[in-house]
Amino acid sequence: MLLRYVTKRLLIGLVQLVVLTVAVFFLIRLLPADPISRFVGLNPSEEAYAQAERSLGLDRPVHVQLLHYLGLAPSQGTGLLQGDLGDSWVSGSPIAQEIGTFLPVTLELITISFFVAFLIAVPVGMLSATRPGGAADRGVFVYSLFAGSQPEFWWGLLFVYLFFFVLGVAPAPLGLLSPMTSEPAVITGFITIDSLLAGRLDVFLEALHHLMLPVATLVFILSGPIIKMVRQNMVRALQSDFVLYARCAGLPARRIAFYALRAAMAPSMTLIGILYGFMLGGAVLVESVFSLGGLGQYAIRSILAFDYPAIQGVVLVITAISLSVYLLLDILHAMIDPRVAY
Amino acid sequence: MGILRKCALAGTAIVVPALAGPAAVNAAELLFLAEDVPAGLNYDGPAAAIPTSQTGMVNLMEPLFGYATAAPNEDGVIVPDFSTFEGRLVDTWSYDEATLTWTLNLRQGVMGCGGATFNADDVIYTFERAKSVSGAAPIGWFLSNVASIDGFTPDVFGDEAARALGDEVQRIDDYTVTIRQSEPNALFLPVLTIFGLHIFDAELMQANATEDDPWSHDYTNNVGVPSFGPYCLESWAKDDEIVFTANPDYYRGAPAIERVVMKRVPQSSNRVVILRTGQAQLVQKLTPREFDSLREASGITVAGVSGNENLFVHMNFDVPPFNDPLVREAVARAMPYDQIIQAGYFGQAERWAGVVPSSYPGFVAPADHQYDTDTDAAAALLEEAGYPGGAGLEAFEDAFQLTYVAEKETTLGPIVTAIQSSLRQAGFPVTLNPIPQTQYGDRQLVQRDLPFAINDQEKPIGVDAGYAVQLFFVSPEAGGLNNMVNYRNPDVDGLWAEARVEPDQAARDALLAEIQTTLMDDIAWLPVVEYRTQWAYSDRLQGMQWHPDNSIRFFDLSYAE
Amino acid sequence: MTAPEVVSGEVVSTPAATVAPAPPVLTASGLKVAYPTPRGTVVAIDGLDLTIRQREVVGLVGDAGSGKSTTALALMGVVRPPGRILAGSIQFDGRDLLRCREEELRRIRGRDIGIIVQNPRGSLNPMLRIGKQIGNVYRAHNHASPLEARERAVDMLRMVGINDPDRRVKAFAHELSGGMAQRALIAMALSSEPRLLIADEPTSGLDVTIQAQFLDQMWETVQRTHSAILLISQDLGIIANYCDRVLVLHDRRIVEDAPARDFFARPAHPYSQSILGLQRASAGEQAQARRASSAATETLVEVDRLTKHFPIRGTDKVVQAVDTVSFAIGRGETVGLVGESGSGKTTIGRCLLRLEEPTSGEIRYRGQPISGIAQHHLRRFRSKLQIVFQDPYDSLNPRWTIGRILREPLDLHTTLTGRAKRDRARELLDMVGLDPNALDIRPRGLGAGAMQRLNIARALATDPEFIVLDEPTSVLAPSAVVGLIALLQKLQSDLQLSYLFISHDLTTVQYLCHRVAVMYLGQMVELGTVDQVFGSPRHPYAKALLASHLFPDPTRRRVDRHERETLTGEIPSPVDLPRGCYLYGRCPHATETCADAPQALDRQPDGRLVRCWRATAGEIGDSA
Repeated sequence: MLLRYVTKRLLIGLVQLVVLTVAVFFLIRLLPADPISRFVGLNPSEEAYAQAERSLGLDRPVHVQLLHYLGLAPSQGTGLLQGDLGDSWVSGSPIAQEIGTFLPVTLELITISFFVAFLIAVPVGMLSATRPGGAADRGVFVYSLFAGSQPEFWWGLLFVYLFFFVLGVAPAPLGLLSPMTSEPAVITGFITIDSLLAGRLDVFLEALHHLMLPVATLVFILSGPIIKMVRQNMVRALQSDFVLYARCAGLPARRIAFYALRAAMAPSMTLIGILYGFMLGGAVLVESVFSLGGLGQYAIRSILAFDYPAIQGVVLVITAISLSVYLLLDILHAMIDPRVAY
Repeated sequence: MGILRKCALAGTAIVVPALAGPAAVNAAELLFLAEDVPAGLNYDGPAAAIPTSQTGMVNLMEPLFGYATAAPNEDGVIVPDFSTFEGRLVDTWSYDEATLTWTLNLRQGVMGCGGATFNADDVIYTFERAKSVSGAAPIGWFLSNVASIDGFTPDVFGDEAARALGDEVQRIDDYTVTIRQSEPNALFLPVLTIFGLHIFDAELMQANATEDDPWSHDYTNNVGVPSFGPYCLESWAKDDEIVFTANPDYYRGAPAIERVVMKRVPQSSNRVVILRTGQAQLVQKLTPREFDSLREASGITVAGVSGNENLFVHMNFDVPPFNDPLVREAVARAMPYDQIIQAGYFGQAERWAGVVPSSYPGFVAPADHQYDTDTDAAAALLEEAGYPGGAGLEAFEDAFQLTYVAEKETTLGPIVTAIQSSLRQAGFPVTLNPIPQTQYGDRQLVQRDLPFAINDQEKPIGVDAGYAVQLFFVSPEAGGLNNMVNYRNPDVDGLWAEARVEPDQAARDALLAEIQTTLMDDIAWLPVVEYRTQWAYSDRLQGMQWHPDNSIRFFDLSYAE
Repeated sequence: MTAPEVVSGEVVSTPAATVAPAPPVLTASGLKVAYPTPRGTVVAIDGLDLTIRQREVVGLVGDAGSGKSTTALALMGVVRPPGRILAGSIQFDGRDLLRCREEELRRIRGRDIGIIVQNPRGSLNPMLRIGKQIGNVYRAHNHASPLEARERAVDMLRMVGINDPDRRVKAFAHELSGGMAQRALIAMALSSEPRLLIADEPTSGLDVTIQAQFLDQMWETVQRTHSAILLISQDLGIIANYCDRVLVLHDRRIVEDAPARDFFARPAHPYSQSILGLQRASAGEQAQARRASSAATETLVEVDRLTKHFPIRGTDKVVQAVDTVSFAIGRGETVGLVGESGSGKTTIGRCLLRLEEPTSGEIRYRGQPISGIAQHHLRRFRSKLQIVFQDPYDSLNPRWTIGRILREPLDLHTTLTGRAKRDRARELLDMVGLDPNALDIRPRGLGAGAMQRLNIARALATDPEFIVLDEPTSVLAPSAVVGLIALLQKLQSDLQLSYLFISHDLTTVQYLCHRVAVMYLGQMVELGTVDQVFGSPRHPYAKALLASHLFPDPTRRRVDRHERETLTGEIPSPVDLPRGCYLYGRCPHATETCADAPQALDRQPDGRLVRCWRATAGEIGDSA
């Protein structure tokens, strides 16, 4: 049953990806600027222009470019079907390789942030729902009035100023490791995992130390909607008939709270999934403040430079990850809530 | 709550040991924070136009010629003496006027990284590669063409046979090479100092060639560039950092700083903050306000030069009403120059008196053709043009959209706002139009249809007034390369045709002076300011030198004892 | 119609019985519960006193919204948020529950006092298996390992009559039918053998036969364990058949407290009298005459072998809703259609008015066929054939005024002018007992009973001769039911109307109808006068249906009967129907012949029709 569902979802996801890829391919060619102009800055002669056009492959008809990109025109070279995302027009490096370098940074940052946010937000949401008017509830109210409305960019810079410059407890916003530390060998691309695999505990701790502030910034921002969602759902669950009945049956307060929490978690899962997919690109501001070379800044660089294959590659990757996350969360949701049928 | 407390304790347990702090910087190491790191090391590749890529290239590669140095300026920054050339990979050289041939005697005993040894083969390879125009952006060919090296004509694009290197560049023996020009073009030596004709090590380049990529473009785009420069490439992570280690065999002596880490920190405020704590020793590309704020900071030096960075207003001759000289002059007189210097550059800029960088040889500031702020004169000119008080200009609303690069909002923002309000007061219906860099480039260079724009990124790469003229002001039909305002003046074209091949320096300078006077008269460009190129660095660092490509050479730097 | 004003505020109770009363289990005095609303505090119960003794089944009746559920919860010290208990005391086990600490109260709830609520599926945790939930409740009050708790859960499920408890214990709430969920709830409530069980409308929404099984079981359990029950219900049948004593909740407190027989025979409080109105009138002579008559008047509507199938999308199968049903309704006659869910009675009603298209068969009105003709030809019949639906709210457009609602049929079927229409509308309102000047108000504020009267007024607008009444009283409170039935009778006698009265409430059918047909799975299994069918049913299904219907007559309690006609098992699916008799498999009198041959309706000597060869052959005795 589960296997069939997962297979079906994966197949649908694949179709979605293909359709999206073709759509994006055409859409970005509608953008209002010529990517070639970037190459002819020093020498905008007609010949140089033609040369640049040829090197990017833009002198071929559009359908040929599409077929090459998809990997369906072996005479032109490899494409998606063979696992080749093309080369970036800004750096000339293979895009798959570049994304393979930047994506783990973002994933590391947001996964750890979500994890921590979850650990904080769920108990706080639970507390503020079960004890309205208590410390947690009032704290949440103040937070949402004041903090939740400011951009993470601002908070990130504030944290840098406060914790690095004034207090000196945080490291410089120079990325995941100090520039003077040598990186561990790349196995997964996640510095935390790689350093553990290589047995370098000092590098692992240093990476965590550097992640402290960016994670704190993201947690600050992410907690808001998660707390609100949990709180709202829990309040609704606490007013439901089955909680009332549980009270009548004399269940201890803690168990009732967990009954309500479980009911509240199911819809919250959806929100978390959506947030995660959003954060893949949305963490770019925090990445920028803390000099983390993540996927967001790569996407922005590619868009501003009209680097077509890189844009296509980024869209493809983010979509694929989002779809996987949604699938995972749907499965989790079904595990939590038995009313959901496959 | 118990859970929360436990998590907090666990977190502290992890964090506290890690607060030992970052690794201390070795005395012979340098941490340099820049807005980006090289995206490629191939000057014929897609990343060549990016300034930080050029920084990578010039520190790893070595040119044939360089400029001698002059005395340090008021900030202690060493500036080049553009009138005197120094041989770098070239030991001695001579020029035969009759045959237009240069004979270059190459330096012996030059060693690069990875066992590279320098001889004439490397020079031949470099020019062969340039002429093959196989990269995404053929800068090597372009510079050779601008310097009139024989055979480097646009024909190479159409005709594959024309791409083979002929006898214009000849290997005489292991350490002698001749290069022949097609005309007595004075740009020969200046061009050979530019990053776009730095010399490759032929053996290592060929070792990394493939059948599909015989000129190793892929290798230089992504892995490294074998040459004879003062530094070797230790590691390179694009968009993150690049690490250079000194080349102990460098022919001018091993560099004082053994290891340079160039790190990408995109937020300028972060660069400031890290410099202040002493963790980094050198930063560039801060906003004028930030440089200002660091001037009084202890342990930090802020220094700069009046180099070749400038700001000008671009009015397109093909778009009315900018084809009317009276309107052009009215705009020139309505500009708030002083306000721009104060608000935009915190006083770190000066009025630009010409249309060529004032530090370049051949520059003149035409005395009678300067335009100061004079609102009365502006009003009178407008009236004379038929738009009293600006009435009638509403028909040209689209033309008066002041376009600028959106990514530079932080620095250009105050400037364009000042311009907008002053010009509006004078009656011009100016609106602001920020657009992305690439789109700006497209419209300026390729389509040439920007009516009204402000530009702070034109730095002529050839250090010569004539080069700047050829680049910007000669009409395309007469060989103009980047005439973004569609300026067509047959007089200028004619004068330039003469000056281009004028062998006598004094005569050439006279011709160039006349050209520049005409340009100011016509307001081909509306020059606003030349602003200082600045850096901030630890006060222990000395030897800062300015180069016309605005890239720092780490070889110049050392730590005071 | 509103209930009569309370004259005095005193509790009216009857003198105690001669036997010394058993010790009280729970005594509540002066209970006051209020809810804050945007419009101010609403007091739900105010000064409520009651006592429940050991081995007693006490019934609590009252209108919808009178505070019965609030009372039920308040007796445990629980209030649905945001309400609060403001005053009073509850003596239980020597303690005042309202002065106890929360932890003490928690122990008492579920262990000493158990509660069953009205919405079983909603009260179960949708995410846990029921075995786990029952186990949790058990472990909350007893020391037990998870394994022991699970075993106890299985035992409880078996005890409440769920077959295959080992498998069912792993089910989730949404996988259970209403009846099973209710039983699971009882299992939870009884798992620690409480001394007092509060059952709040425990059988609402359940089918009649299931309800009977269920209440029997509950009653037996209580007898065996010497506990007490507070049984809250609006259904006087349930009260009459199971309760020893009756409490009446009205005007926020208990207004009458009497033994069941006394209550039904001689209700003392005016409100009690009003809700027992039907029962009392039912004993009258007029009613008796009605029940015995098989008024042979001119035939108005004839149904001839009506059949209706609903195809199931995506398959070749059909749901057989109505199977070859034939009967006739005369002028001024009321024919009742009774049966459980799935019997087809509602479908027949809808087919009569061509709201559904019959698959085959013919319907004739005054001899003219009205089935099989095009819809637009029906127009002229529409004014003569009308329908009143079950849910008065759904049938009316809430944004229209009453006048507009009544004008609609007048516009469609008459040629009256504006002024005449208004007059007619006023006349209609008067006929149904509503205020004739209410033409310009919207029906939003009216109670269900009044809205149903409005529906009837609308049906009367075009001078119909025949009205289909599809469960018109099922959502009404008992007091409103009384009024509506009286109105229908009056209209029938005044206007010579004929009714097809579709209902599952046998009590009202008994009062209103002349003849009645019993439906099972789309087939008519018995058709006769009310006296014949209700007094001595012949068909085994009719017998079981009547046996399980709880008539509000405490002198003939179901629990006092020794032999009960019950059917085993559940109603089969209407998609795959058996070859022979549909009741085969559940019928206590079934034989091999019943399984093979389809059964036909046979005419009995006394004129009724029965679809059972054994009954026709006299092999099944009559039951009273």
